[in-house]
Amino acid sequence: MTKAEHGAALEITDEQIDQICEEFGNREGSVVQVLQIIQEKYGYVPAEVLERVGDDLGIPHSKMFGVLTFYSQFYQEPRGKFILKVCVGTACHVRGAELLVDKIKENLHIEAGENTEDMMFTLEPVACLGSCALAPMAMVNGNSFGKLSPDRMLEMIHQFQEEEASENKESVSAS
Amino acid sequence: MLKKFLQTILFSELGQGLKLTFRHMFMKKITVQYPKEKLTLADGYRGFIAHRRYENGVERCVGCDLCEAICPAKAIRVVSDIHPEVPDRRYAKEYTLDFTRCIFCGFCVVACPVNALSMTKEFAHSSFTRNGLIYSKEQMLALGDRAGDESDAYLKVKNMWDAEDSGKEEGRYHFPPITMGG
Amino acid sequence: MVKVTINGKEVEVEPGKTILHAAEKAGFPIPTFCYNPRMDPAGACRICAVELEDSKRTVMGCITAVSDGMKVLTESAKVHDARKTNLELLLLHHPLDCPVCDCGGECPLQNMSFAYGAADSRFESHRNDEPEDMKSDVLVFNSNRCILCGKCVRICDEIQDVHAIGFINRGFDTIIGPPLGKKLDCEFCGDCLEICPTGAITDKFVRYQFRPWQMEKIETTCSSCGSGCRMLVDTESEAIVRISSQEGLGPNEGSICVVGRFGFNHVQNHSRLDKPLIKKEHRLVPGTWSEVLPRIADRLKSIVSGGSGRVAGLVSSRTPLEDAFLFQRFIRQTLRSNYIDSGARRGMMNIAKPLALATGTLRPLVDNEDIIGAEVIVVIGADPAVESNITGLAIKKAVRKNRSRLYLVHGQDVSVSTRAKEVIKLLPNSEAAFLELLRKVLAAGGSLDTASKDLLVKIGASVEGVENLLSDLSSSRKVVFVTGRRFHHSDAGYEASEALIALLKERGLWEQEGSGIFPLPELGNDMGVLMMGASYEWLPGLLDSGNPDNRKVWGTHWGTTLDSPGGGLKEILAGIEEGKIRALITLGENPFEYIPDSEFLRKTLGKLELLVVIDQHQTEIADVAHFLLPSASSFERPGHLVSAEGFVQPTAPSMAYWGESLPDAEILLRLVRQMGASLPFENFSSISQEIFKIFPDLRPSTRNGSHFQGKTGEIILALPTPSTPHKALRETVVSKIRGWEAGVSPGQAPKAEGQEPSGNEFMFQFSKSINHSGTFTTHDSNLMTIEGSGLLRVPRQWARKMKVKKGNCVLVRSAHGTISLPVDPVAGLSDREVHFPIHFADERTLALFGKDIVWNHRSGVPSGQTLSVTLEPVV
Repeated sequence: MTKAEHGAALEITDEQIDQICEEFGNREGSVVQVLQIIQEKYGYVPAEVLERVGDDLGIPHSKMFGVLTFYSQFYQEPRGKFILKVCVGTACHVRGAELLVDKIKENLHIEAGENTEDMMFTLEPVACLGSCALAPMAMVNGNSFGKLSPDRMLEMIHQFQEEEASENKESVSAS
Repeated sequence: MLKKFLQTILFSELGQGLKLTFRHMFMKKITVQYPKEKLTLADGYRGFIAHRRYENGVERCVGCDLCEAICPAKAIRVVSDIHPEVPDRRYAKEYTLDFTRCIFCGFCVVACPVNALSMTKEFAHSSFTRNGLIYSKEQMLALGDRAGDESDAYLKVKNMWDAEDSGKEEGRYHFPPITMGG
Repeated sequence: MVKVTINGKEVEVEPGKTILHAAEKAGFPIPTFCYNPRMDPAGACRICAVELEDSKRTVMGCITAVSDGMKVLTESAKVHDARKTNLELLLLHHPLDCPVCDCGGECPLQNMSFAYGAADSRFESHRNDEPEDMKSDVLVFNSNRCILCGKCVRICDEIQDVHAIGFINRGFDTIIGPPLGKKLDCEFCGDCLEICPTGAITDKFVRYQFRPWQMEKIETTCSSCGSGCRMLVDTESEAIVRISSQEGLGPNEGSICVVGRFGFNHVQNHSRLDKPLIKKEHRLVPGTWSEVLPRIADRLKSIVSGGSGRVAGLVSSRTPLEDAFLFQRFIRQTLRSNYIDSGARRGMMNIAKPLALATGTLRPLVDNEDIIGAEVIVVIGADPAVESNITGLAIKKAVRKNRSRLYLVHGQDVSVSTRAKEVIKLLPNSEAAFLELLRKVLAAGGSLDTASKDLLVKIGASVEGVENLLSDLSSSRKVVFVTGRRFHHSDAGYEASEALIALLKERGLWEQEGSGIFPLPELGNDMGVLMMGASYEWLPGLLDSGNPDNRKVWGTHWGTTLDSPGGGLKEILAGIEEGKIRALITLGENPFEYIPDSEFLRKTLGKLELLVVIDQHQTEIADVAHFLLPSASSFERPGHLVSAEGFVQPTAPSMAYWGESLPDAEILLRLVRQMGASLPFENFSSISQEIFKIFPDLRPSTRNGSHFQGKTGEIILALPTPSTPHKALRETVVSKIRGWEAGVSPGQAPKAEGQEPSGNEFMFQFSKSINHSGTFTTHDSNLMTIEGSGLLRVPRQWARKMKVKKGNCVLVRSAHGTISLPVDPVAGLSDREVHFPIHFADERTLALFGKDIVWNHRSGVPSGQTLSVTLEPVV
């Protein structure tokens, strides 16, 4: 999975949505794929986009909303740049995953499923990431980090913050 | 034969009867001088029916009409509506209990799911008109306020007291589990 | 046939039927929550569990098909346990707030829990405690009480085809509601409310105001449109609390629309007339019946003594058969005049007259069942879901179940468009030209030539769509044409009807079982009022009043001589102008609603010596009335209504007379007595008996009159009930139509021909709103909550271009005036049309039409409710 382009600033026009739907032949059955593509571009599925997709594919809005809320992979709200998926499955749990989650909550002042105010981080406890040997583990934007400790977690967060800051600086100086 | 003759002329049976009378003259009186003296009533006494409140003064009645439904004498009339201040709350807009019809059976108290009704130890209400005995909700709440702990006592003695319902309003819509069937 | 043994009793059922059907047939109803005979089974609630005797398994009765030799136990201990466990699980998170739940007392879940003792659960969990969704003005969604049977979602999808609500989230968090957390936006039919087996969906209008056991249910017929829906009026101490339906009841099978379900408050509105009013010194002052009636009688007597034809009468199309019959007889016999017009004549004469001339009857040859079975359905100039909701449902069902091909010929997308094969958008008033073209092309072999294509483009129709329609028409034998308001009211409506009849004749469709024309009446009893002769051209039984023989027939029967000629509204207004007509009696009819020039009308009616208005509300006509008499509504008086399908169904009085109001028939009978005249009617039922005696085919009939109801209050199956025939006899119609020829060639060109409206030019047209019926529902608090003001429906593309949003005002300019109206941008409207709901048409709106009243020269009804306007956004 490529790193998703984030930020609500990205505009999708109605025509672009029409085009995406057309690629799938405006078939009712392709609704999940269309929503996935849109989410990849947006980071989430905004209400107006959802309605437009429904109109294009000939699916009532109530059904569209049902699909959107059924799958946990779709989001209705904008999300942070770094999505901290912390595994709280059995193996990670016994190795202290709760501590990781608590550490993040404490330092970023967010609850599970919430974004930080600067839209940098989103905390998302997940059931299992399939790497129980590396417990406790977390996944950030598709990259796995194993054998974590609360301190290591905090370090990672700082690292991301620095990266972001330097990136911003570069882009400022480049311009 | 002689014995019977003597009994007849000496009115001994009269003496026997009067013996009981005279004995009672020296015993403790059991008659109560009602308006001046009053009996102690049992907690389960089925007097006038009162409306009860929660500890914070909010009336308990939710206007569910169950008392009206069960009343064998058709003495109760409930008109329910949305509470004017709390939109998701049901309440009794009008509640009238006709005590001229009421047979004081206590079914309404049993039917009430929120323990809003209780029977009090008041029984002496009189009126020159029938309308005077048709009580509104306000009058019944006043009865309840007068009764105080007595209304709790009635429910306790009739096994209708819900220990979890400590009189807090928050528990309002959390009705006690209904047990029926098997 | 398959043999199945249910609890030891052997029954034979068709293969493919479910165990539920078989058990029903054997007389062992199985409890259900999620099952409904009108919808596909879902198997969601698991309460219909039954045991298979051989395999000892429990299966779901509603989704398991029967097989030969199957042995089923419906009440075994195992079944009982399974159901109890299911109920315990359903009740696991259910809040058990029955005492404050509006469903308490009529709740299948409650009943079932009582029956199985499941409220005393073995499991322990939290009770759901989410806040209710109160956003909608009509319904309250309480997700806590929901058992996720999905009936509401399915009825909205499958039956109503509205898709307003759906499942949201997943697993334990699943709730039901409108999408995106928005306010519910739908047709508000309330079917989900009716069908919900718990208190998850409740009625906001009467929230917490009732208990089911306090109310009396009275079965009656809705008079809001021609569907003839049977519904139940729930009353408490003779006041209406709400209106409900019962699954499977009536031709509507338990569905009612928003007007039927929520539109009852206007009859208990305090704006209703409750006393007779008399004009004294230019003011209407309250009087009493004993004061008013002698005065009216005296004046009428003195006017009638001067000669015949001096009194005119207007009657509403909601009037029951009895009142309409009595009214026309009162005018014709007692008042010796033939000046009679009615709302029914205005609404339907353009199709009724050609149909009656051609077929000899107003009864349709097809009904909703035929629509469901039709191969091709052509809806022309009608919005079935709005004008006659049940026909709309039948059309939707036909497409969904039988893959009928639906063609919609209209100026806009209507609620059946999503299921239409083709939507052909026509300019207003071009139906006649369109049908004439179809007829000619079909006669010539069915392919379009260049000239026809040019004409189609001119009237706005898509050539491709018409080609599909032509090929389907030429290949199908079961074709139903549904006509409606736009068709009947179009300028050339009469000609369009003739073209349609001719088309069917040439295609041989009149002879074809299952084919025919199905006109949608505008209001409750359009057909009945016309059948009763409440129009000048027809004596009762559709006999031409111009024919002396017919007059003699009725004259002899009534013991009088009947006066002719008379006239309709056009002649009545002219007669008043001339001073020939001195008195007018109106029965629930108000010409100010549709005659554009109100000043002229006021002046003309002001010349009358006597104007008696019998109505429920004080309307514009009251300004010029001498007497205003309060009449009882259809919820208060008995009567019979003829539905679009031809059923004659009774209305039952369900509430006490409002104030001092009286039924129309009672007022007229008292008036007759006061005048010293006599009509052979003692009371209301004697009029009914007279009608049923003279017209045996008008005896009451209905569909699904009695139906099975399960123990638990839930329906199981609707059983077909025998009923008297309601459709016209095809043989007699066919023999009659052979001799029929259209009067004039119906090829009238549309007004807008060749006129290419540019930019802001539109055709302004009145249309019916789904949320209202006539003007009286604008007195209804419930319906006004749903739709409280008239919004001009404009094409959404135009609104986007001009940056106008819903509720913004635009200036509407016609040749005769300018007004400002708020708009509602809608999708699917033809880009050359704007629509305004007729219910909110006031003097200002009507003034746009100028002073000329356009009368159809064939049927004599006012038409021309279309004109070209320019729109201009108000900055």
